[in-house]
Amino acid sequence: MERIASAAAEHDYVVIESGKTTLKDLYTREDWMAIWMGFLILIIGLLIFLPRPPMKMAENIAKSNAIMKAEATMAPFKTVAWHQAANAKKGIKATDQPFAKTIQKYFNPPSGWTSNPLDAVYRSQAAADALNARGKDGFEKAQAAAAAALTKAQISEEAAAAAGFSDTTLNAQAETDIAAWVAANGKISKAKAKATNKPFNRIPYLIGLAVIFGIFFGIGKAIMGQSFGKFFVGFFFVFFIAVLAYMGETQTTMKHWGFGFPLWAIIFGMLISNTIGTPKWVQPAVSTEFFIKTGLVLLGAEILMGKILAIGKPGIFVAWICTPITLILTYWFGQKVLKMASKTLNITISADMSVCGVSAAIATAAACRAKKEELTLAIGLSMVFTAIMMVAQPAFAKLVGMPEVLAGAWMGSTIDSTGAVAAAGAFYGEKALYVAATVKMIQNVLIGVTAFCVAVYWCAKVDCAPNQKVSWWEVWYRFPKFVIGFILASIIFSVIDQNMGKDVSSVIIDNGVLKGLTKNARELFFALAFTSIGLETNFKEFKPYLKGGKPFTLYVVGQSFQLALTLLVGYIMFYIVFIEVTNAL
Amino acid sequence: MRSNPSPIDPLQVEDSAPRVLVPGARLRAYIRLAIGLGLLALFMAGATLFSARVPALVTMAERIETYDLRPSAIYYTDHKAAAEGEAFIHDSLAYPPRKP
Repeated sequence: MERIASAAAEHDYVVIESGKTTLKDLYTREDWMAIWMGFLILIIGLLIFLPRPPMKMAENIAKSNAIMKAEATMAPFKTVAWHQAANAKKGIKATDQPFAKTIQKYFNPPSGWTSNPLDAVYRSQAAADALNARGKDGFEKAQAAAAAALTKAQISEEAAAAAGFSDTTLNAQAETDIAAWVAANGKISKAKAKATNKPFNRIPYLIGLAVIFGIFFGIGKAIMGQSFGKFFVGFFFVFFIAVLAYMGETQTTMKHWGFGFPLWAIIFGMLISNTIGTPKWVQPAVSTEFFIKTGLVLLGAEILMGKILAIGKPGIFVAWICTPITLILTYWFGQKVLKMASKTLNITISADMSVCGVSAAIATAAACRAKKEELTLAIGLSMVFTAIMMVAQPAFAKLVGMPEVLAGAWMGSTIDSTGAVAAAGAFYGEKALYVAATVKMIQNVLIGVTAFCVAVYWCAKVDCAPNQKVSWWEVWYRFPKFVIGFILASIIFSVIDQNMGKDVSSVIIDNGVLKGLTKNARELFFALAFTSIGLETNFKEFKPYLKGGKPFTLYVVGQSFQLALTLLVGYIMFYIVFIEVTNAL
Repeated sequence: MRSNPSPIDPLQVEDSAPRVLVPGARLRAYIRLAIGLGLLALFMAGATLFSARVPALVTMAERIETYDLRPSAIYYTDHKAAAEGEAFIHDSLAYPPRKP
């Protein structure tokens, strides 16, 4: 709205005038256009995947569930057949169908590389053969190890069964051998991937993708009254830098350190804008807000409220009690103790640190209209701390001998980045990995609530002149409208998810609509948004924010509090109040 | 989010400057870009060397490769570990082994 821009410029971003919305806003404002464009992609995804479930999906799911149920009633531990049935069910995915694989070819990000960046987009037959030759030994060894472990597990299980599963020593031995087989079995798929490399050339697909989304966003821009042609031409440059950002992420060491595409997109963008300058012909395509808002509408579809029950009540307590407390207290600390001048920076860092890193920072920054350099700063802080915490936390947990489930819950709730949580969990053990990744997933769902609450709070309380009373209509005028699309997408997909049931939804929604299309598009839009941020940011703009090291202090204090609180609540929930859940894992 | 005005494009500015200065300024800008890219390459190379010498980082790298993880994932749908973890926990709670 006009009043935001004018009031923002003249009154240090405090909105004092009443705004008005008209029907014209529906096709001239970025917020609304982002909703239409996001929903168009979501509808396309539903139309592609809903009518095309994998062959015999229901039958195979029922078969696996029946086996697990029977095995569970038979033995006091998860048998070999139980695990085989669980794996078989896990393998049913809508994305494994030919049409989904064709779509995926366009969205495939640059591949991993170590020293030659070209390896990320092109691999010859000879290079693939050489990689396969190197991986062959490892694959054969992994297969042999898994086969030997399976035989041992089956023998132990039979011995326990022969004793009617009443001999605790035999039961324990069987459980240990089965766990060893599960671990050995898990290594096969990666070893197989290393021995079955195929040649590829991603360049034509990337060009195709650039054309598709150049036209897609160009049409949106044209409807809003901007030039399609100018946007389309500049878009290729922004897209190219976004691809380079992906290549930054897939470099072997950077991948291990968790330095993802958002960081690289900002770095590459800033490097260009602060040296040779962002070329004039590129500027019409530098559309940070448009890309972010459309991406956030798509992200809304991934916020499935049913996920909060994934690990039962203890998961809800750890993720949904500790996180809001930390978020509010960190924000309060920033305002009352550190006296941070920028409330938007304060809340963006607080959400980034307490909820789930980059994705929470994006959603919160967009909801409170934070400045792009504030979002950049929050993400930079988060990535540096994540790289440290993902090694330090499992090391500390090992040092004190923390149980796997507690360590997983603790790391899952406190490490910022969603992916780094899994890495830290894996560092500790497989059960810790699963618990950490699941607790983080539950916490991820919070970003919908956080973004909505922050948007309302900012409209009703923060973006006001002193003593100004704001009516609910005024709040509506000021409300960032794309948040409606974000929340609506979450509600619609949560309802679909609930109605389908956990197993079918996992196949069609999780491993279909979302992973087969919308999630890939959302990730690309965020990469384009971060590239745009870099391309319009000057290094000097960071100077005022770094004064006194307040963002750093805020982050450290908030993170320390979260570490202590989550450990305490995690112990109480997983080892005192809901111990039966822990025992079942 | 609010955007500040874009940084000034040196090339555009130089275009309107006296012609003699343009090539020099343009060259300096590109040299700065090349230096920046060189520093990033150096950082990656240094990080690789550093990672190979710290045992904890070596173990972490091994685990990441073994479980095919993506530490930079920004949402749970961006990596398969979340789906696997959820499936494992769901099945463990839905079909728990009988009590001994």
